[in-house]
Amino acid sequence: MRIAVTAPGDAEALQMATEKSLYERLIAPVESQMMRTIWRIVRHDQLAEDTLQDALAIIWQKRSRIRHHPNPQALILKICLNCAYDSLRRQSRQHRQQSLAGLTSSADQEVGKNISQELELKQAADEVLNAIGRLPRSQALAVLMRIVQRQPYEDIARTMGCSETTVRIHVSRGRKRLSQRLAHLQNSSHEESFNAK
Amino acid sequence: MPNENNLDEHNHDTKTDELLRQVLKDDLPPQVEARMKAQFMLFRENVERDQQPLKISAAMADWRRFFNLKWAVRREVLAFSSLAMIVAGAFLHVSGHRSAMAETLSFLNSSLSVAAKVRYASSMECRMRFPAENGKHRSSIIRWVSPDVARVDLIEHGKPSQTLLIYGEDITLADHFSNDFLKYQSLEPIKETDFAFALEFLSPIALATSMYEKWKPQHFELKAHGQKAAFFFLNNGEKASLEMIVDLDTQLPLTLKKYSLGPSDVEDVYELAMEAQFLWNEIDLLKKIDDQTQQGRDE
Repeated sequence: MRIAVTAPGDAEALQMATEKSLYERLIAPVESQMMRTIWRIVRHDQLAEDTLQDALAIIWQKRSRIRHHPNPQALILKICLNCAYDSLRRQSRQHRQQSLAGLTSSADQEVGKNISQELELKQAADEVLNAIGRLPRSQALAVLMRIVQRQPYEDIARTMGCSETTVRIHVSRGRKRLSQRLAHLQNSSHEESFNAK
Repeated sequence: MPNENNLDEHNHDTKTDELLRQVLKDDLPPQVEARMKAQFMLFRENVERDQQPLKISAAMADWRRFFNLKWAVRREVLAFSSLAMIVAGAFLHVSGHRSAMAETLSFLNSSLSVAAKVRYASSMECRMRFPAENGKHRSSIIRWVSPDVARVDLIEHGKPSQTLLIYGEDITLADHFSNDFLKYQSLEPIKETDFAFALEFLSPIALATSMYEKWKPQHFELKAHGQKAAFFFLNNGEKASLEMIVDLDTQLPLTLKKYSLGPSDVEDVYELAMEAQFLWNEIDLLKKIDDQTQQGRDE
């Protein structure tokens, strides 16, 4: 058996150039969007950084697929969204476990000591994040892209790899579940507080 | 009144949308943005530097450096950590090495995970093939039972022709055709026999030590839909390359192929010089006992 191998130096230089251009071409233009996508959903300093690291790891693993994707940047943002959703789910699980055990985080306690209204707002925000984290992945992603990021259905369908009708169904079902789970927040004064802030 | 219901539902949806937008608003704090930008920079540096050949010195610190460069691909890091564990010889007696190696929590986790898996891989069988002239090949089977118990059979026409048996400090070389036995006090004289090739494979530690001393990691590729990874090494002194396939699930090496530069150095054509296939055997009994103990704890 014989295999031909090019000179190691040339191959490395070519590989380096390819990886460099991959970064400049695909990741650099959406750096800001990636950060914001993750932050909007995760909303926690350390967790956001971890999520970004996870997303970059996946992007790097899937780089050949991304390179050949018709809309590579949309795929990158979808990966970020997926990672953020995973973080959110982990948070939701922890939140549920803490609730069951009657625990609150030190941050909650700190806020609670200072301003009760802040605590209420934070709890309301936690509930919203928790509710999103409990949605099925497709519904959560569709809701986040459509409602939060205000993307057109056409773009979401392309990113998710399904039809526009399917996206509409996901959004509708996701929104319905969220409405049910967050009904108490919408009817209370939280909304006004949010608006005031 | 269906119209009123629809209107209520619409209002409710609008409120939900507004609530979501309020909670998930675009308010990335500058300090978080700065830290995330630093992560991008680090990632970019690693991506661009990652492909450069890395110098592996005798220090374990260099392996850690190598892992740091590969931080972006955690699954591969796990696979390499198994190699590191092999290299360190740590997977036999992990406790001492683990604390020395695991400076970060993630590395500790991967080390523990590898150690847990390798714990049950208490024996290894390695089948080796060496291409010979006229399209034929020589083969051998190496069975590693414990750190100081190993058996190597040279196979000719499907039958063992010679056997090297290592049992503690007793090293015996048997010739099956002449029925001769030779006893040795150390492995040094074995280097002059047909078993010289096997010295690197007598145990995972020996293999790791050899890998560690002779081979420089070059790059890796994912294979079989991410279930396996191929790691490539280079030995400039011997003008040879090595391909190691690692199962990313068990994190253990599966195959090892060595390619040497052919007779005409000018062409840069590498020929397969050796192929080794590893079979890692688990002790089911030990695993069952551990599983039962764990179940008991959970209950």
